[in-house]
Amino acid sequence: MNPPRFEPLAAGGAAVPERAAIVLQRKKIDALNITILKGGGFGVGKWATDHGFRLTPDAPAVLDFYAKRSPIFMAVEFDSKRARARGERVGDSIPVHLVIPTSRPWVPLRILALGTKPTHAVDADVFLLNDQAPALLPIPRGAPWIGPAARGLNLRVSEPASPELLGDLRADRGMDWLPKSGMWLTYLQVRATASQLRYDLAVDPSGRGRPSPVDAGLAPPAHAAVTASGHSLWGLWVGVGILAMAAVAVLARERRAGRMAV
Amino acid sequence: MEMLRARRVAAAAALVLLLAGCAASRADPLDGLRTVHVTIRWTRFHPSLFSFPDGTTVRFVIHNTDPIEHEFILGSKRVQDRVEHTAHLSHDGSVPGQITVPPGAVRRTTYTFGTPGTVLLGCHLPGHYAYGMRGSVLVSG
Repeated sequence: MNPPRFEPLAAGGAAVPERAAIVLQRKKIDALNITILKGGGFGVGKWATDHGFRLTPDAPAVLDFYAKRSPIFMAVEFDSKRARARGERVGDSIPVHLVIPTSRPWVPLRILALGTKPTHAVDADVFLLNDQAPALLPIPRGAPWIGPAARGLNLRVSEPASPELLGDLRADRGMDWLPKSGMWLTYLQVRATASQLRYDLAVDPSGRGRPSPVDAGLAPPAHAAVTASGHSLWGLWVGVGILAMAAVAVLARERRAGRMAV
Repeated sequence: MEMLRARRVAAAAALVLLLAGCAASRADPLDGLRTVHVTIRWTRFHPSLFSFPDGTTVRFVIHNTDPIEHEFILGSKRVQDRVEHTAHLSHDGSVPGQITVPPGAVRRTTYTFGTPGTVLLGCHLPGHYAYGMRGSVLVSG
């Protein structure tokens, strides 16, 4: 093992080039302060620490893991004062509706284990709505596809979405784009330990049956970060509640006023 | 005889592995101090194993490539335990071998390895030592 070589440094110099994250959007939703960022693992992590987020020891590795796949991150701050003023209580959830144009959707699961011990139990529910039955990677237990099943990922429902469900979802604000029929519902349960959760969920909704091992975190990206494509994605709507929070759960912030969002 | 030869080969292999795992260093032409560069990445020291003769004074140049703050604390197990279990303070470098390294920054600290034995290395920000941010220095007589 040889020590890395560095150029001569001035006293107190920088170990890495400054690549600051760019703030793309800020939004307040109920008691949440949401910031959409674009940048690499270091830039996004530095932005977070500069803004009072306390990152756990595994955060640098996890941020780099995701930055190689997408440069877009979302930081969420929970404002306990605002929550108290709104009358919200422990256990209440705040749904967040995200529109992410991409032809290669994937669901971040590994991040659910951020900052936990290897034996920590991770429970989450993932709902997918697609034009047709999607192909998934890693293969969940209970799926009809051939291949080794992922530990801790279980397929519970795979069926045409009922008109009642679609009608109920269409009734939510901003959801009238959803078709009244012809959608496919997939429901997955994550019941894993943190040490098992070393993957994300790649989704191929095209019908070609080829979800990306890179998007699933099972193979390293060949090139730089995957960028969001310009193609609109109306065929995918990724759940509510838990799933949104899974996507949201990038960074935790603790404020003097109270506890933070995860 | 064969067993003895196998033992010698194993001992030689172990020595090679130990040397390969240790940091290379060189004397600074200005002050003659040994200088060792240590990179922090993903909450780990690279390298994390060192070996020096007793009485050696080493200048450590620590490059923190992580977006979070880290510490570089050299000392005995007692020192490591004390820093781990006391209220966290920032280490400004006034104590040899103890320094805080901000995100993306480079810091230097100098330490003299006095007597033969093992000196430990660690970061004691919450959860970091348990996560595995540690190393050791073998001081030979």
